[in-house]
Amino acid sequence: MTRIEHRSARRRYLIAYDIREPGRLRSIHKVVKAHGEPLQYSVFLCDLNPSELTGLRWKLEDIMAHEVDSILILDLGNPRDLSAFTFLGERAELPISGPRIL
Amino acid sequence: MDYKRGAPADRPGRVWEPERRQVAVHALMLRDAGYQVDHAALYFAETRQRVRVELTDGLLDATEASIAELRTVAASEVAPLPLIDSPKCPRCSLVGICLPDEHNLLQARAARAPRRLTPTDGSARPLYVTEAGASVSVRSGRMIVNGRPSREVGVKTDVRASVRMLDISHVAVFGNVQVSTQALRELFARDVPVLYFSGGGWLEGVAQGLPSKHVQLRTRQVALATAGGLDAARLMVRAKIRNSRVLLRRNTRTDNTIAVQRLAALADAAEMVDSPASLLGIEGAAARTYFGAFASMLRPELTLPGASFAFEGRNRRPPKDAVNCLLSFNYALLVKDLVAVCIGVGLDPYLGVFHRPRFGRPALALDLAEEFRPLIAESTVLNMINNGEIAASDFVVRAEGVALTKDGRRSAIAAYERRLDIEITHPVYGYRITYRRVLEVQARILAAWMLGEIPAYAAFTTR
Repeated sequence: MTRIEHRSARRRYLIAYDIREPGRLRSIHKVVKAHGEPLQYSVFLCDLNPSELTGLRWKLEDIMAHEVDSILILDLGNPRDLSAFTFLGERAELPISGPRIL
Repeated sequence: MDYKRGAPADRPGRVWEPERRQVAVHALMLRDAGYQVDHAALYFAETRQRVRVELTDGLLDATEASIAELRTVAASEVAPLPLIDSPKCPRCSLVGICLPDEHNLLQARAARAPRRLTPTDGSARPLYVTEAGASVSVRSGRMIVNGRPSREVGVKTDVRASVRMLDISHVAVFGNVQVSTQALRELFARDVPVLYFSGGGWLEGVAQGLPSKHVQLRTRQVALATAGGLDAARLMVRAKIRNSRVLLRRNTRTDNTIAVQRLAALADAAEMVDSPASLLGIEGAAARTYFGAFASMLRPELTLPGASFAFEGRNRRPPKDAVNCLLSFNYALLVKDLVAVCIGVGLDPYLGVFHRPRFGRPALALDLAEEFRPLIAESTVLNMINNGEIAASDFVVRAEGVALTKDGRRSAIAAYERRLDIEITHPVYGYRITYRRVLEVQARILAAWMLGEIPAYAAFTTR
């Protein structure tokens, strides 16, 4: 039996941005926060599938000023693989998945 | 002129037939709008090549014919049959809804076991809010859960959680939890239902956005529920009895041969009955036999609050012992998930085929729940109790019955959610699949049967 991995599996992305104007900074911050968890100032971890990533890029590119602003999207692979993370000092919380029971 | 991302085809004429038809449609529309079009062209971005397409009479006639054919399909009440073994299926975004290989197997159009085409479970999971007085609101794409507001002026309430909307498949709230209108609207826009439970765990209502656009399915479902769907009901009850028999055989700590044999006989009898009333009778007899033997699966030295779990089995409203309390709670969670699944698939959760419709009773969700009760709910209860995951301190005994404490309820939900994530081999289709996804596949199979796409409902049983 062939097993075909579904393409909608999520991957973890590190997203960092440098925005030159406070208005745009707020809008960008809002959009990225809807897609991921803050790690440090202007640095987020976002677990996204391809269509979610495309949607996020589309929104960011719409807001940012391409001549002066800069946004970095770094693919960190499988969200379960924590080997890419080393914390010095205060340890930030990494995004969790699964049901939330409050 | 049309733009293509890739390269021209490696064949004479350099374009594929669908591409030719596509530009022909553009040309026909332009002609209709009064433009003069004498030829069409395709531009391939990857190789930066322009390919000329002649608008021959043959092409235009073929295009008109395809358009007419598409109109017939769109007007038809029955969806076209899925493709057989098509290489197009794996990359299609609708494969999890269409279930082509599963349908073909059930229709005996293909002998081969399905490829694993079903998407893995979506990444979204339920959000449960069990804290009394909490409120759920939305802020820029995230759900915020706040604790009970303080009575003192100027004291801010605690943010209990902030969850991405992307991560939420449905919201289950227990007791007096407020969900803001803004949050509801945002949830509806994303097709995420909200399920309201009483503090004690009874499913009391559902809030969802607009009903499904699949009108044809709803019409068929109403017709079927009116006529009575004995064919499917028989298979559901048979599967339920067989699954409870498997659970009993796997977990029993004493000799239960008589109960096991009796259940096997009742499962066979369920398949043969010719009236809903006798089916109900068989189901009742099976439940008495099964719950009579249920206590033999529990660790004998256990002491839990309330009356001891007696051989009479089930009691409820309110449950008189801890085992019944956990069973009721798990059934409510299972029905909640199936209500959400029904809404997602476009089925009306209130119109059943086995359970007769009654005011406020999600009959179809209860129907679908039957075969999964032993596999998901009862098995979760047994694991929780026998592994000591839940203790006497997680229950409170009130005057009339036994209820879960706040912490008890949380661990019960966690155990249930863990069970849903367990992967099993599907008995009919042969691929690995989680219970979470099985629930949806079963609802889609039921819908396909209602629409007449497959000859019979295929209930889910384990060995």
